[in-house]
Amino acid sequence: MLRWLVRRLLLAIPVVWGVVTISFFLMHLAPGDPARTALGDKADAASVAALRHQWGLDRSLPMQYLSYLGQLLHGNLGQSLYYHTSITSLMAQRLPVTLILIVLSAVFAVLISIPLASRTVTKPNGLAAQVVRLFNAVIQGSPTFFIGSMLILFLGVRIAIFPAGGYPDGFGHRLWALMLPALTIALSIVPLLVRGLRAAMIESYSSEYVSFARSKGLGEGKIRRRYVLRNASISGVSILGIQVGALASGALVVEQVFAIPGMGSMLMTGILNRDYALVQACTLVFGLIVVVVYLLTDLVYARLDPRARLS
Amino acid sequence: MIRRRTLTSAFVIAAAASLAACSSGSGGSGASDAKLQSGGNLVMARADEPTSLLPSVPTDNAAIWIIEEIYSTLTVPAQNGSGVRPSLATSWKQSADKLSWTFDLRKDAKFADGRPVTSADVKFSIEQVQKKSSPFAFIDSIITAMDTPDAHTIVFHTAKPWAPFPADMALFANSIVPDNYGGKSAQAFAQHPVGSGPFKFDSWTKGSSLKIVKNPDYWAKGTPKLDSVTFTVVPDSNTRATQLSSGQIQINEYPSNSSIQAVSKTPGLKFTSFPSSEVDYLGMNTSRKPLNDVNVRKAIRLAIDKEAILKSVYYNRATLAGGYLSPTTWAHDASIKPTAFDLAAAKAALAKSSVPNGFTTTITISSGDQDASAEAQLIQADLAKIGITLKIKSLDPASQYSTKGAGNYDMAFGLYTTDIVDPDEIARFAGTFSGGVHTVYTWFNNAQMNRLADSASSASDQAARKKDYDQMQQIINDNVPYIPLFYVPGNYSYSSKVHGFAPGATGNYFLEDVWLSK
Amino acid sequence: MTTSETAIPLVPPELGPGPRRAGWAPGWLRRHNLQLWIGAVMIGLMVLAGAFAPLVAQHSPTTPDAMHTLLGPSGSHPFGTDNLGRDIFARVVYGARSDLTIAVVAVIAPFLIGLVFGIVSGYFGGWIDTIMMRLADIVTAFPFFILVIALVFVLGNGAWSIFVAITCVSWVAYARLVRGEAMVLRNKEFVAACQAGGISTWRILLRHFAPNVATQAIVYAMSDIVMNVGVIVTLSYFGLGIVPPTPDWGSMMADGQQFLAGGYYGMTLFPAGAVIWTSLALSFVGDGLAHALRIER
Repeated sequence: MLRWLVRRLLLAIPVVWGVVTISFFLMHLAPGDPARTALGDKADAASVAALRHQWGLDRSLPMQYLSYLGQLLHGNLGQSLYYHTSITSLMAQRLPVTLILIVLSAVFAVLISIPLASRTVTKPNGLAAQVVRLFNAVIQGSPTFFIGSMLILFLGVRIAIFPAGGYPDGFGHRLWALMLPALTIALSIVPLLVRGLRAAMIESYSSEYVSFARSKGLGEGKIRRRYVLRNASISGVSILGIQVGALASGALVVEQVFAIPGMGSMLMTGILNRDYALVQACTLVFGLIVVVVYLLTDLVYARLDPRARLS
Repeated sequence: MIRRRTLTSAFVIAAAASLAACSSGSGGSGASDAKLQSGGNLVMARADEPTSLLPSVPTDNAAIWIIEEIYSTLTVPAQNGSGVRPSLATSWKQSADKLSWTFDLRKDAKFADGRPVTSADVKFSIEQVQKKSSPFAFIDSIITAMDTPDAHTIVFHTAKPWAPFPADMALFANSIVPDNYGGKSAQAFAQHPVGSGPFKFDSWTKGSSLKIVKNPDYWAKGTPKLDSVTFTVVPDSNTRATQLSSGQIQINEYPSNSSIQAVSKTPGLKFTSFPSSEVDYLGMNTSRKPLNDVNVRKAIRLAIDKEAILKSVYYNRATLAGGYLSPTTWAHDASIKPTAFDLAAAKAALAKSSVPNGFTTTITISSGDQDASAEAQLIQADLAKIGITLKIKSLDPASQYSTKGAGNYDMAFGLYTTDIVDPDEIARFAGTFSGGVHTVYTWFNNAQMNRLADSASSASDQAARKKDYDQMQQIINDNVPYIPLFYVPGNYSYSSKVHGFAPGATGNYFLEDVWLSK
Repeated sequence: MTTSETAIPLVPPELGPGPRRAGWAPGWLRRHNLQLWIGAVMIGLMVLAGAFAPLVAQHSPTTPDAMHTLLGPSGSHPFGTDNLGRDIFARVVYGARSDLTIAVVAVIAPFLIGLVFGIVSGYFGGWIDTIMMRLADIVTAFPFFILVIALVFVLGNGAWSIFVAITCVSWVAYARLVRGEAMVLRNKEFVAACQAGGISTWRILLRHFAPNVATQAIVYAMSDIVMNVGVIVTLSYFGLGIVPPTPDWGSMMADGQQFLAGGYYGMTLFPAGAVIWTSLALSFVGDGLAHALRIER
């Protein structure tokens, strides 16, 4: 177990390094100059040059890369060029918002998917199953921004149960304001989740131990709770784990649409203003989230499914 | 000042406001008979978050307009943009040799921490702006030395006779900060800024809101009337509109043009266009063929149906532009009329040019800017009628800075606004090759423009200056390096409970005069 | 990224191992594989409309008409007109050209890259596999849209950039899928027999592995096209996609959003309908294909 953990952590190092490196070079290769963007077009060339020097952007790219890596190794994420403050302090404000959003959407996705999936398995030819199927295809074809705007239109404005975007003060209000954004992200992965859960349920219904349980006269309800749902939850956990990247991507779009001050909107600001250090820090944190979630997924998987071994 | 047009404008979502409030009732005019009241918290929603509250750093409106509430400047722009009036300085005069300006400071002005405002603070503040890495260093570079004969007098020596100086001192960047930032580092000061303006900095939750509170020690007694103002960041324009109609906010900054109808139908809401110095233009790279041919540029100007753009993109909330200086400045030349849409004349002009049968060129627009995209498509259809094939290329705003800066484009939209009320800054920026970015990226270089700008800034007589500026506008109009398309106002939608809200031509909110009725 | 990889439900369970169970569709539908046909007809209609757009649409998709903006559906404009007075029906039909072409083309390269990558990784295993899978992990650890947006910034807007960006990201799913299959196949007896018979490794991979492992990847490609449509549309919505005035469903939807308030739904809902229609068609085809391939096995 410990050896497995150490090996996994060692394997994660090159992945994280790769993420940092790619985002560094991608951002620096994109045309645009953070100094010019910050100073506006009225500032003269001398001002731009002075600011570039102050930010160390006049050094060669490899030099900047090495010094950035050195800085990271000391646990320093650097200074945001756009917000004029330390990135660590920005992260402390923004990261929790996005994490809550991702967790909420994962919960919603599960709550929606399990009943849908079991419908299609228990009565595959019923009307409900056909509706689920159509729903799945429609949702799969609808871009996240479109789902978000339709939810705002109907649940935020027509019926007006939820706020139509924004991030008010107070924990309760904030949680309430995160409901629609979380639902939007959740819907985007529901089709995949339903498909996976279905597969798992079909597999366990046809497995030997379910036939054995049936032959012992166990009720269908009990079989479903004891064997099928348990089996499905294992597969659900792994799908959610795999999809954490999709959830994070969804957060990027949805935070903009709903005016949620999380990591996604900060990252977008960073990309637009060529705030190199900020973009790199955000991709690093997103990357770490993905790596950690994968690790946790495997741990949970091993715990739930005695057949799986940590090898 | 920069109006950021970013990708966020693409996230324009299902709108909401009118659906919620589209009931009935006409005209949302406010109760003008309401009695003046003090107190209350004003909430204003805006698209962007301020970048920095250190006066010498930012160029974005989101920061500038808050800085103007927290700090004071020596002078302030008159609301109508005609000139400046006293603020921290009670009076000023130019020396006989015209090479220095003496300002007398008021003696009752205090910083929010209780210290009096002195000439040493002024000197320190200006020095920060003069630092090379400050965006407005070019404005204060005219100052060669500063003397502080006593605590309430400051003398500025200028490199040459400089008429716009009092207006320069009203620039937000020249806001007065405590000497040596009150002993703090610039960064620590920026987190808890201290000024002598009508409001005091209170708190800032990055990414969501910034609050300022009434400064009880503000020297103009009886103001401000509000207890506090909260600025919230809501990137999506439709979310802002919804929040306004639900009463969650009182002022919506930058409402989308398409929301005008919905807002003006809603009782209790107003949509007002305040005069602004913004000029939207179509720039052409005169260093490239065939755009280097003035006949080609004239043909393009004649072929664009500006009225159609005004209707479908601006919803008639702008004015067709003539001269390149906006009507909000006294230097505006009203005799230059907008060029009328005339396809026959356009074809005739093109026939006289180096490319009588037309050509292919490219227009670069900001990605995500739907207005620019619509405008470009309309112009594309117009130019096709005279044989010019216009291709559209979209780039994100930061890339666009680089491409335009390097002269690596054919045509592009742009807009400029002035930061100071004197016409000098904008006349140079949008008219001269060296006074900004190669005549707003057109590479149009005319030596006479520099001479006229210099002559205008050294003369003290406004009538004489006006003649120079008229001539500059005529040169641009004759050579068409860019086509001023529209004079665009500052649009705000707000609750009729808000009174006295009237942003100036340079964008200042003047929130000290604003009050809320119940 | 070990155990959980196997759990990605990239293909319908009908294709997986285990006894055949009642599937998604009613019996009559399954027996004749009607869903494949319905899907094919739906997508075929869309493709034909796009291919013969000039015949299908009476109006130009790009010519503005300031006098007739934001009209509701009528005889001459079945879907109404947009804010610049252009015919929405024509724009939806022409939009099929750009969106479908890129969506389909952008499946080919990732499919081939993923196939090669997955076979090599799965067959050889060991350190080659470790290195290759770490490369895949790096791509996975980037939130999808961030990588795509950053790439489009570097390359500039346009169809080519979208194609490159999608390829850079979406080969990973194919690689994982094929690798899993290849690992199973590697341990089959016929492989050992081939090796013993002196058949070269490349020949084994090309002749025996590629056809066998490609089946699942082909089925997955159907849903990948759907995802590509979503990506193109979302990029256009961000203003990073297809350059105007070329009609495209994403930018049409983005442009339409601000007019929903005024009660002009057509600008948003008709292109959205086209996206959903396409997705529905392709998911029918995907499921039908899965079913057909499973029967053949």
